[in-house]
Amino acid sequence: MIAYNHTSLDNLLINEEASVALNNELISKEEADAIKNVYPVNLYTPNLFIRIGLFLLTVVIVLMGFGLFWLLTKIESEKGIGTLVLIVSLMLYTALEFLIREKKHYRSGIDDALLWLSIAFMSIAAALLFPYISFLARSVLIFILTFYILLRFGNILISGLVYLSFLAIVFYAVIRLGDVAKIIMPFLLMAISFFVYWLMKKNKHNSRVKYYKTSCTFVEILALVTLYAAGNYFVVREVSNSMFELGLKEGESIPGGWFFWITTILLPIAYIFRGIQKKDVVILRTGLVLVAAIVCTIRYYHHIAPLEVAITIGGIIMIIIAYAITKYLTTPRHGFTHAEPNDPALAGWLQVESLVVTQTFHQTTPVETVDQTKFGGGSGGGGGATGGF
Amino acid sequence: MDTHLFEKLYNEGLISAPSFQKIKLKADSSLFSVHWELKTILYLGILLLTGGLGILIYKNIDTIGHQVILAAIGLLCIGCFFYCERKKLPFAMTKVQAPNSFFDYILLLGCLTLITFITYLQVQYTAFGNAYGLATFIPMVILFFCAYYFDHLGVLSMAITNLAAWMGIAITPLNILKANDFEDAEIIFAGLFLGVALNVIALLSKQKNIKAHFSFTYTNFGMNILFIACLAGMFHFDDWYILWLLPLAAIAFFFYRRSLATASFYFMLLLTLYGYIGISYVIIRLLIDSRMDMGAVYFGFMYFIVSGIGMIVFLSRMNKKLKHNDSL
Repeated sequence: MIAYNHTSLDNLLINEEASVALNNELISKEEADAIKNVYPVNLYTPNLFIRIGLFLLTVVIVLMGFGLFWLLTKIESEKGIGTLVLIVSLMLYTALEFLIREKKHYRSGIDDALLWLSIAFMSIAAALLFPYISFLARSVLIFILTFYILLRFGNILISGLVYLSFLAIVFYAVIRLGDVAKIIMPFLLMAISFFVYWLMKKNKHNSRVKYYKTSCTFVEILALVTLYAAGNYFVVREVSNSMFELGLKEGESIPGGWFFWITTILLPIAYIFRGIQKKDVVILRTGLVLVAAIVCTIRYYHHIAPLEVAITIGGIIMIIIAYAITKYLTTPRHGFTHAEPNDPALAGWLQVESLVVTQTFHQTTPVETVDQTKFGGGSGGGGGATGGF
Repeated sequence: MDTHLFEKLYNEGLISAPSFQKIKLKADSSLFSVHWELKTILYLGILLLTGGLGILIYKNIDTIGHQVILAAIGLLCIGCFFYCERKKLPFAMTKVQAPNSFFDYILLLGCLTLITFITYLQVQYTAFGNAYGLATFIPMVILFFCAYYFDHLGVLSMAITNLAAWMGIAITPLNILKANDFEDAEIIFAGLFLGVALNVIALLSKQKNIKAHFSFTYTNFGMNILFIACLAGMFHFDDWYILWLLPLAAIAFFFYRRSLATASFYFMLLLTLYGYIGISYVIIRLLIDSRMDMGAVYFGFMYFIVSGIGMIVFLSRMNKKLKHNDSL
């Protein structure tokens, strides 16, 4: 199972909880230090920025090392290169296991890089050695590989690959059943997504999967998204049109289209309600993001208003909603507040926020507009925000 | 919050009874914060509104008439500033919290509409004459004033990008490489000058304690523009590229000291990467000029492997050192 030392991981979890409590001023600094002394974490986890640096440098070293290796061996045939890549992949994996066991690396950037490079080299090797296998076989291969890696290293993004490759297996396996499959496909995928969501939600706090808790949450989010996507009118129409050769013309609907319109519009709203009702961040935020998907889907098929009118009205509605909620929650109600959560780690996000603001609200500086004496040319003139379009 | 865990810690005598009580209380009555959700909705709302209004005006300019549009923008702007002025907490030289997240974005909307208003006046009526700099200078001053007066990081960042635009450089994060013509020697030197100036302001605001929390934003822009201008100089002035290692080293050393003093991992990472790019460029150039053919290629690969390992060792050491400083 997991490659890391169990006691170290347990201690890490305890210390993380303690630091949350410390940030909320529930326990004192002395108590947090005492906990750290009794439950020491001997894993090597550098700061996030150092981790990014180590990741990039490791990628450079490995790629250059591979280049040198290739140059020295002078291999040119496709199979030969495939074998070489496979060998490098296995070497990287061995190095990864070694670093974790002997040097206690845990999310240090070096182990992240080795993990991803090892997977990438393995996939390239598979593509070079077996170029003519079916999509189903490919999905199965990826699923087995990523599932093993997930169990061994508990990587969050890998868990997403596991889930998506699993869905791909279902898709390519069921599609072989013929016409019935095409009709039941969206429902089948929705059912599986829902089941996976339910499974993750129910079990993510189980102590048996405690090292995979974040992975569970990630799959939970993905399952909500795929549940929506499988019932989204746009996805169902376009996918069945291109993959099952329905030959739909513009304006033509798929059989049973009304059902998918209902799920397209109602699912995100249901998510948001459920999120508010259960105070569940995961489903609430997913629902909010998917509201954008409703808008895009409707606009793709029905041009209710010109784009600029639609986004202006949309913007006004969003501002009003935000204002109303802020006003309503000035004093916390029903367990909700609009106050900032107490977390020093979030301070960095303010800097990120200011950069995003600068980037997206970037002005059409008068430097450009002065040159054009009339309002005719340019990219939106006096409007201000060119970032929007 | 996992109360079972804290119960265990309490039984082991690691946390005191009052602390454990507080944790239990918190776990029962935990408030659910929708702070970031609201912020995101607001941000998107204002992005859509300003974008949509921009196109609307642009498309209908002939039918609505300039005065009407100007009046509408002006009214919106006055409304925003009126709201902010009423809601804001009293001014101070230190950090002033925003009363709520709605305030932050209404201020942003106010600043955006104000700039649009000025730009409009300038384009339509050339209200500020034909002086090239004035039309960028005025929004810049207003933005700086608002950033300090209302204590807003986003507006400050916009002010800094406007300052750069006034000097002829684009420094919005994604445009810094795309929009600038670094083939132009003038831009390179302007970039160096701007970078130095921003860093001086950063140091001053920290020392004199004038909105000391703005210091990071200044340093961040200043550092990136300095390094990029320096590397651009190295790539541009072909005959003198080795000489540019000197300013590069000086800048890297300066930020090395700064990052140790402020225990900033972020600055350490940036100076390492920029410095590494500069040195590697010089080494590769030297290899190309050496006419060693395959030898140069082998040597190049070896260089990256060895130097990469060296850099990893350096970063790991710095991680240790900064962590040590962090706890001081």
